Amino acid sequence: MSSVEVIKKIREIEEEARKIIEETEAKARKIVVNAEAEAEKVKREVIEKAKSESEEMLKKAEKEIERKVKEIQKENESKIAELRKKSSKNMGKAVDKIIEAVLGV
Amino acid sequence: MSTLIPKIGEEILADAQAEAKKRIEEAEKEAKEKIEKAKVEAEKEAETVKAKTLEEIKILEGRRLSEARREASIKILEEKNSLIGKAFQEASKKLEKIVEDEVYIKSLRSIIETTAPQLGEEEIKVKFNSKDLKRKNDILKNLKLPSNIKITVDNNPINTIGGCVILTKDEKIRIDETFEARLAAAEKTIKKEIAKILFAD
Repeated sequence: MSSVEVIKKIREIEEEARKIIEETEAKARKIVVNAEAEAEKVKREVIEKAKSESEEMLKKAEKEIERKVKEIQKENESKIAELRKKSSKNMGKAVDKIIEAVLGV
Repeated sequence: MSTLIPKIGEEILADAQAEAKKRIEEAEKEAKEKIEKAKVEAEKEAETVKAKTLEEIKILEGRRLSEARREASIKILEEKNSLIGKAFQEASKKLEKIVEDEVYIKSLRSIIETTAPQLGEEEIKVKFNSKDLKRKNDILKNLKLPSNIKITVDNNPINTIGGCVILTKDEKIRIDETFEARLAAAEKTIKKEIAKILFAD
């Protein structure tokens, strides 16, 4: 092999090595770009899931609050019924007390 | 020379492949880190979203329940006032009948005996409704008043279910002792007492 052929052969090998590096660099960039897209997707999915769970929590809470409000209203109705019952029982005494105050005797 | 070439070529390619392998490993590491970082950030953001919702729920619940309790308290208060009012209305109706009884005449005398001296004048005027005007002599009979106080009855009837209006002769001082006025006064002074009686067990 002549010196020219040797240099040519070495150049060819170097070219092959450069291609390997270039292809690898492109592959590496693609890995990173894909990972960035994957990361965005993961982020979006996790946040979407959290938002959806939050909406569900809010709906559930609203129902629970409404149930508690109805319970307060029901308890109050029962208190009012009790007041009416007591006042009905004691109305005579109360009226007599008022008359006593008005007559002053 | 010809045996040296393949050796150099192998070395150059091996170096390139080793560098390529290293680069791919670095890229994979970077990719893994980016995804992990995104996961951590997303989880953090998700926690913030949930925490915000929990806070929103807490505020909503507090506001709604406090509103419901306030509305309930108002209803109780309205109901109590309505029932107390009913007691006063019943008392008013009963008073319309009581004016026929002897106890009413006694009450009227007692009112005049208590109120007239308070005016601090010797000549006192009394106003009655038409029914009491007809029996004024009966009412004024046996009235226990200081001897210096002279009572005269105004012959113009007043519109009341009972009681009277007591005035100085010049009508500058006037004490309303009609049942309507006494009921209104009682509503202020004994309302608590009436509530206590009305809502006792």
